[in-house]
Formats: sequence, C-alpha cells, structure tokens
Amino acid sequence: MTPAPAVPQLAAFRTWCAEAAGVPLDAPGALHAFSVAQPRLFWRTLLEWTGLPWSGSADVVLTDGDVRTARFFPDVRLNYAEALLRPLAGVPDDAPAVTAVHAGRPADTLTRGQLRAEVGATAAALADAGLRAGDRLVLVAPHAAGTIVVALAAAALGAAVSTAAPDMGAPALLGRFAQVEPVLAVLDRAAMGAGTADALLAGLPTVCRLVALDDLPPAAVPTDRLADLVAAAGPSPEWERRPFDHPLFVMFSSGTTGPPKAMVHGAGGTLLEHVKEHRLHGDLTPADTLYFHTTTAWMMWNWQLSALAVGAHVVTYDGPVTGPETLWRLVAEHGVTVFGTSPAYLQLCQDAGWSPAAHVDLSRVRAVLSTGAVLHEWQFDWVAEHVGPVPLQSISGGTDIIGCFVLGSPEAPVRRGRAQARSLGLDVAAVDADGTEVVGAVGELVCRNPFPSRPVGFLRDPDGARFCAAYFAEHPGMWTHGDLVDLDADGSARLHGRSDGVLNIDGVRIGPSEIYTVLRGVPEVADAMAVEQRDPDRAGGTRMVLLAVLRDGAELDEALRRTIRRRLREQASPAHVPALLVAVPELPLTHNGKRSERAARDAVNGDPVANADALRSPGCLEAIRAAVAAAGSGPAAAAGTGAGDPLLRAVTALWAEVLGTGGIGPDDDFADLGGTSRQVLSLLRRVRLDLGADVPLPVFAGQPTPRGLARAVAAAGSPADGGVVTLRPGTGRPVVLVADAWGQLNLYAGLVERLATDRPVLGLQPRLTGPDGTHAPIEEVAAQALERLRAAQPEGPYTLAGYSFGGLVATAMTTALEAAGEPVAWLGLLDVRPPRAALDPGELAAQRWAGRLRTLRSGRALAAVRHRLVAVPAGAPSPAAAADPGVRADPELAFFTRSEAVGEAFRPGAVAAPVTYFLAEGSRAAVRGTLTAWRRVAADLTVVDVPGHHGDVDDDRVGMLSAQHVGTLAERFSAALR
Amino acid sequence: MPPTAPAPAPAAGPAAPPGVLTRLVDLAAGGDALARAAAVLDPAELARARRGRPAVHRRRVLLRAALRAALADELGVAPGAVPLHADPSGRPRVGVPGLDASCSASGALGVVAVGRRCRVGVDVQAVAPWTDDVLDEGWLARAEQEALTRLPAGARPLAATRAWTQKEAVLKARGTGLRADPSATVTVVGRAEGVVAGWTVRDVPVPDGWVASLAVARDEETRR
Repeated sequence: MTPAPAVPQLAAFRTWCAEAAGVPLDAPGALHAFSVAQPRLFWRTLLEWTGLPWSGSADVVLTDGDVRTARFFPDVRLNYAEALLRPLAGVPDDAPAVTAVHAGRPADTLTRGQLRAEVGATAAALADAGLRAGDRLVLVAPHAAGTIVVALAAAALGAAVSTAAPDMGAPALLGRFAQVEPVLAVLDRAAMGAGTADALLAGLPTVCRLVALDDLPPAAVPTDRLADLVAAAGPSPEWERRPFDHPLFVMFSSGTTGPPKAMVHGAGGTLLEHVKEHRLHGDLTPADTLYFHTTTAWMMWNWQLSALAVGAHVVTYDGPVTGPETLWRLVAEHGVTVFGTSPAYLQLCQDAGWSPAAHVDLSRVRAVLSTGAVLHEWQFDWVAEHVGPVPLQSISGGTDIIGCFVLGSPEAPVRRGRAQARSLGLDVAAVDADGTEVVGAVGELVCRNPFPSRPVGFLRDPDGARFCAAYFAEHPGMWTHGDLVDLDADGSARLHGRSDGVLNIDGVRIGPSEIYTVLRGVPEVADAMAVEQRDPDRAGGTRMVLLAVLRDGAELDEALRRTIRRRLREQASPAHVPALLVAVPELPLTHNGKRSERAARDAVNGDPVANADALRSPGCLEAIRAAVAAAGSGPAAAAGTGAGDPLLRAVTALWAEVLGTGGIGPDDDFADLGGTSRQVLSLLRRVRLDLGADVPLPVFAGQPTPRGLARAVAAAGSPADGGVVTLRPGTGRPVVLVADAWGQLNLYAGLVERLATDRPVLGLQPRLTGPDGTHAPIEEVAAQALERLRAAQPEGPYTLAGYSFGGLVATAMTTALEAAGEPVAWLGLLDVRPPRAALDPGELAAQRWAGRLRTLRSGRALAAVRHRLVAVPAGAPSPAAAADPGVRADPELAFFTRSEAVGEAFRPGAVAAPVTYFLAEGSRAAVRGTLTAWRRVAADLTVVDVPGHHGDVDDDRVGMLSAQHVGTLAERFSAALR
Repeated sequence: MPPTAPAPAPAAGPAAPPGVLTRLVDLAAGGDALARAAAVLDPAELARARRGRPAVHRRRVLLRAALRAALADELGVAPGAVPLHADPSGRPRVGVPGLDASCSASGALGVVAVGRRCRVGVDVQAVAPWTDDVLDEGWLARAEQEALTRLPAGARPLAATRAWTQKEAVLKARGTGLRADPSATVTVVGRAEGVVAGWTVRDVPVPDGWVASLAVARDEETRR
C-alpha cells in the first residue's frame, strides 16, 4: 500500500496549472479563478495531469462557451472501464479493488487483477447475450461486487448502464426504465420483491433477454444465468475507446417533479469529473479505502465506483442499517479511510446517543463525507466530539451533473455547517431572481460556464425541449440546479435545500431549512416539512402548511402549537410561522431517502401526486391529505383570509380563533366583527403567547384591526429581545419609559394616556436575565436597552424615565449615554429609591429607621408579590428558577426578588442631565435621609411630590400610578417635560 | 331571553334630582322592531351600525335606539330628536347639560343607563366559564387574582365576570375605556356593591347567566 503523499495532490496539480498559465496560483481562490477564467487550459491540463488513458486529440477542449450546448474534447476517445481497471504505476494487481461486505456472512475481496479479469469475462458473456455498443442495459442489484462487475463489463463494451436498487417496487422501476428501452435486463431477482421482476419485464417490451444474477427459474423472456454465460463465453472482446460523450450511464432525477427525467451521462465527462473530485478535492489515493453508504439507485454509487480509477480500494455493503453502530463497525473492521454518509445517519447516531469513537477503532478514518440533505452545524460538533479530529466534508451536487458543485478541499479549513470549496472548473454562484450574483446571502445555485459532466441529453426528448426547460429556463445561459445555496467570499458554501422546496407565500420566498433548524429545538417534533398551499379562501393566495412528525407520546395540543409558532417567530421570523400546523405520521421520502416537498405540496393541495411511485411509502400522502382536511375544517381554517404578509396572516388567525369566525379582512374593526372588550384581552394574551409580542391595550385600541395589530406586533418586537414598543405615537423626540422589575410596561398605561405632550412615547423592555438565566447587572440591562433604543432613536438628546427598578435602568442608561458623548435632555425617576449599594453608612441607618425593610421584606410584601405568581402560565418557569432548584416553587417571586437584588447592588454613576424625582407621598418616610444618595449622583436634581404610595410591592395601598393618582403624576410629569 | 324592559322612570327634566335610570334591552328582537329602531337613528349611527356584521348591526341598532328612547323619556322629546353624539372614543355624549349616558351589550342582552346630574358607566357581560387563562390576561390586579383563586371553583365564573363588568363600568364612566389599564382599577372580588376607584358601583339586576354593573359618581365628585 502506498503511503499517503505528504502534500495533497492538489498542490502538484496547482504547479502544473501555474506553469500552463504562466502565473502563480498560490493565493486563496486563485486556482478556482483560473479554472473558470481559462477553462480550455484548465481542462486540458487536468486531462493530461490525471494520466487517464485516452487517444485522439485534446486540441479542441470545448466547442463553444454555452453551458447548454458546449461539447468537451470532441476528438478524444476513451473507455471508462479501461480507465478504472488499467494497471496503475505503484499499485500492484494484487492490491484490493473491491471488498463486498454482507450482513451475516463474511466479506469477499477482489484484487485489481481479479476484478479486471472478471469484468473481461463478463463483458464477453454480455456480448454473447447480444449486448452491443450503443445499447442500453438495466441492472437491478444490490450494492455489491457483482453489480460493479456487470456495470463495468457493459461500459467496456460501450453500452450504457442504468442501475436501480432491488428493494424498489415494479412501478418505481418501470417509471425509470420504461424510458430507457433496454435490450438486456440484468436482475438479482432473489433480492427483489416477489413478482417484481416479472412485472418489470412485462413492462419492458424491448428487453429481449434476462441475465439472472440469481438461481431462480427462467422468466417469461429468454433467461440465462450470468454464471453460465461467463462459463461459456470466449475471450473478452476488445475494450474499444469511444467518443468522450459516448453514453455511459442513464440516471434519473428524484422523480418527484413529474415523470423521472432519464438523463444520459457521457463516459468522458463522468470520468474526468469524478477523478477531479476524488483526487483534487478528496485527495483520494491508492492508499485509501472508500466506503460511501449508498444504493445502486443513487448517483453516489456511480461516484464511488470511479474511485477505482484512482487506485483506491472500494468497499460495498448490501445489508441493512440496523442501528447507529452498523456503518461505523463496517468502517472500523475494513479499515475505511474515507467514509461517506448522510446527515440523516449522523443524526440517527447523535439522537441515539451512540458515540462511534467510544465503541470502535476509527484511527484509520481521515475524512467523513456527507451529502443528500442539508448538514447542520451541530452535526460538525458531534462528529468532532464523537468521531474524531477529521474533516467533515459536506458535499453537494446532483444526479443531473453526476458530481458535485461544492465539496471538500485538502487545503481549506472546515467551517461548521459549510462545504469547503466550489468544484474546480465550475463557475458556481448563488444568484438572485434577476440572475445577479449574491455573496454571503442565500440564492439560487447556478453554474455559469460549461462543464464536462453536464448530461449529454435526456431520453425521449428529441428536440431537447425538456432538457432546456429543466435547467436553462430560469436563467438563460446558466445551469440552474434547483438548490438554494449561500456562497461566501472564501468559496465556502452552505446548502439550504431544494429551491422547489422554497415556499412562496404571497411572493415572500421562505427557505424551509431555517424552520427545520428552529424546530430542532422543539424536542416533541421529530421531523417536519413546510410546504405551501393554495389558500382555499383567496384565489391566487398561498399560505404555509407545516407538517410535523411528533415523537412517541407527544401530542400536538395548544401548548405545543404555541411553542412551535412562538419559537419560529422569535428565532426565525414572523414569515416562518405557518398558517396551518398539522401532525402527520410520516413525511414523503423518495427511494433515495430524499424528502419530497413536491409530493407533500400536491397532497396538501389535494392534487394528484405526479409520481407517487417514486416514494418509499406512498401511503403517507393519504394521511397528509386527511390531516390537512381535518385541520382545515376548524375556525383556524379561515386564518389566511385577506392577509398578505405572514404576520398579518398569523394575527388574523388569532382573531379567527378568539372571535370564532372566519372571513376576516385586514382592515375589519374588532368591534364590527362582534368582538367585545373582554375578548380584546383574550386576543392580546394570545398575541403575547403565540407571537411573543406584548401589545399594550391602548395601542390595540388605537387601531383595532388585524393590520393595525400586526403593525403593533411588528413594532413591539419580542419582549425577550428587549424590543422598543410604541406606547403612543407622536411627533418629535420620543419620551422613553423603561419597564419595571417584572419587565412589564402595562403599569405606565394610565400615565402614557394622560401625558400632555405631542411627542411619541416609547417603552423599553430590556431582557433582565442573561443567556444562562441569571439576572444581569443593571449596567448590562441598560447596555442592551440602549442598543435597542439607539435603533429607534439614533441620536440624542434623549428623554428617559422609569419607575422603581426601571428608574435604575434609566439612570444607568443616562450615565452610559453621557459617557458616550450623547446628550440626555431629562431623566425622570418615579419613586426610585436609592439602591442600598449607593447609600453611605448614615443613609443606611436612616433607611433602617424608616423601616423600609420592614415594609419591603415583610410577609405582607411577599404575599403581595405572590399574587403575581398566579399570573404565570403553567409550564413556563422563569429562567431564573430553572437555574436554581431551590426556588422552583416560586419562580416569579424569585424573578422579582432577584431583580430587586440586582437593583440594590447597583451603584449609579454620575448624571449630568436634569433629573426630576417624583416622590410618592407614601414613600416620604421610607426615603427620609437617603435622597442625599441621589443628590451625590445627580447634580441637577429636583424633587416633586406626588400623591399615592410606591404601589409596586406594598400595593395594598393606592399607588402613585393607580387610576386615582396617575392624573396628578401625569400633570407634574408633563410639566417637567416642558 | 331577557325579560321585557321595566317600566320607565317618571319623565323628568335635567333639573330633576340626581339619579340613574337603567333599562334592559332585548337584542334578539325581530324584523319589525329592528326596522322601527333603525328609523330613530341618525345617519352616522346607521353608518356605524352597518359597518358591523349582521349580528353586530342588529345589536348596534337596537341598543342605540333603546338609549335614544330612554333619553327621550327624560327629555320629553321624540327619540329621533335626542341630541346624542359620540366622543372620538365612541362614548355616548348627550348634548344636554346634566345628562350622561352609557350602554353595553353581551349576547342577546343590552343595558342602557342614563345619569341625571351624575356621570355613569354600565357594563353587561354573559358569565363566562372559568379558566386559569383569565389570570394571565393581565386585567386583574394581584389582589383580585389572589381573591379569585381563593374562591371555590364554582364561584369563580360569576366573581371574575363581575370584576370585569365593574372595571369596565368604571372605565366607561371615566371615559377612557380600555385605553386605560384595567388592572389599575381594583375591585373587591365577590362584592356586588361598593366603591371602586372612587366610583360607586352596584349590580344592575339582569337575568341569570349575565352580570351587569353600574358605576356612578355625582357630577360634582366625578373623578376624571
């Protein structure tokens, strides 16, 4: 076995290119830039560098510059089987070529020499069975050595091969193979379902002969056992070299977008692309053992096959995956160095809590490849922790190009969640709807230049119309692949799913992968699929339906619905909140395990599903139809009516639920619809719970329509985010009120209403706790409050006020603003008792004398606080409580007392702005002798008496903000503002 | 079905002593009654009624006509001639010094109140089943929440609904409605009569299944 080279093959190839180009290509991205800027030089250098066997002339690299029509190397002739099986320098013929692993019986290995001999004998047998160059052969067999032998034998003869997995049903097989019009069928009937082979052959009238890999009795067509044919065959016919684009494989699109497209891939394009990817991007050498977990129905089978051209040892497996350990054990036992798998399998292992490195020896593994779906960031962490310090290479391309657009690189670092590099020679870009390139943002994946592994064409597409429509209709002159991708300036990429999985909700494009990422944080949801549905109530409108597969024991009750909607709104956006949320037992997956949004979309629309045979379990479609129909009959079915934007739609859905009626227009008045004031409160509660926005009553009352409420929700932001709430619209610089120790703004409602000013009044609700659930110091609370405020009011002078705890935050904000050179026009403190930390010993004594602690910490005060506890929705303990088991019983009380503790620990900094201290009559005794602490901080302090008590904790007495006294406060507050 | 409205109080002009007239209104009245009611409304009132869905339209027409009828009896004029307007907030405003009006509806029952030399607010509400969600809706003060949770479960629907109607009555009397925070107006849970935030509050007798509250303050003591 040859040791792996110290420098990657990419480096050697770069030297070749630099010489050919006459310029150095060492800078990051320089080689890729060269490869797309000078395609002729690049591809010819590649062909030469690979040492692949070919004849003819490579002078003409490319016939034209159009990705749709260009042909590569029209004068080059080669043979795919020869290229894979030729003797390689440094690789002895007794080196292992293919090791076939089976479940329940020992593995068997073919050396390169044995494989070459078997392919030769089989080619002779197939030729005797009538297979000729230009014919097509279908091959249904498991991922095993015999399948490789047959495919290479057909390729050696110049026949095209179309493979499929034996566990597929006859309809799915016929959906593919009917278009192929094969002359020969090679089947492993023992591995196929009962009757499947007969049904398949009955549907393929062009098949004149069955070559059986099994020992079953003859079928309805002339049948030969391959072993018998091989035994009777003469010498291998010559493996003739044929044109570069001579058909090699017939592949199929996933088959969920109408009848499967039968695409023909040429020998030269496939070979050159695969060798390029294996050697330059994967740095695969004869020292490597590759196992890619695939079936014969997926292009990764063809891709891994080409690793033989590199001299690598290929492992196949035809058994089932019975648990997370199956493939890792295979990898360990057979010394696999490069393991290819899927996000789904990695997730299976992670979810099962099975750590491969803890159970098996993975010391030979040098890379893990993953493709087939979006690979999430957390999976990189899992591989690093549970597999080892090997690169996790996210690779992505497609059957359509029988290769990759983005993949690994031996030189680039691996960034979590991203593929490392663009495929060399392919001008891959993300573009917006106009075809303009976008960098660092999600766009449609396109390839803007010709590439050799483009299909030669489609079958049954004589004028190329289907081929053209499939890839070139959306952006003329570019190959549009149908994937969403974001590409960074460093060339790294992240796939975001199929663009036909993209939801277009009334013109707003929504990538569902963000939805899935958010739902990952909802443990009850095992899997989900978001699809768009024609709005039953609005012609031409669309709405989002979220299909959720729940874990065992979970139920899609109101609480879970609320959690899902709220998480989506907070962590994604209001646009990501579905109009309809239904639980389904299963999602539609294709035979390759790919998710079929298209099938789900047809099902939710009640349309016939174009190709249900392409699905692993077509029965799930009926369950989806039933679930959507059942959900659609409730009042929430009217949710989408009259609503253009998603937030408006969500708000309208809540109206429909609260009012128990449908057909609500965006500008309908709540009262006109029969809504009572009592129902307003229910509605606003639902808005708070489902949409995470605290909309104050006066704001709602000002515009009691779905549109008005949606606007208010948008303006409110999320309370958890410390959003800025418009408490009252107006003109000029805003008056900003900071939330109290509960994080609430409602207590200011009476004051806001009565303020005699034209200026807008804003409310700030900073988050009081840090990410770990503990209370943040006042300064931190103030800092994030300021960040929010500056988004709403970029520059001063600022006018700030707050009650009690909120006043401390406002003080800290003032200090910070002034320190940053921003003017503060006025600071209003509503009975903000000085924090204990700010008191000197004399003041502390005075405070004790005043008996403040007796009031504040008395049993009566705590009882008053406990009143708040009943207001907490069940099952929503505050983060503070979760962090401290000792206070679980009284989470809200703990939250409040911690806010208090944070407040008491605050040492206010200097404030230059004029400060008005509104001293509640009932607090006079309590603050006696301590106001000097405020005077030390604020040079310009005016104390204004107002009637009432402090009213927050000791609220058995009438507070300064109560209806009774707030009028006077508002009057004096307004006067101070002027 | 609510009972027929009680006999009107003896007609009296604005010079009469302070007092409050309340009437119940059957909002399920049929086509004829609706047509008669609509005939006394002014164009603005009709337009506002028409904006509502059919049930809302009926309620607005019947309630407004009943309010006009009650005021007409006070003033001794035809219902259509009562100078009745609306504040920008929607609160009824009588164009005669010394007269105030308020009205409310819930389901098939309406209540109108006319205050003579006093400010009035009235609210009626069908008794709603109790759920703990009510505690989370933000309109109950802490003391009210605690009092409600101390009540036996069977007493909570009525008590919570009355807490609401009393608050609403006060807020409507004050003229703010829900633009003010209802939790700042604290009621004594379980008490049908008393003083709430300076307003004299009492129940208006209504059929089973409803609660109605009236808030009153004499003009000279009205807190705004």
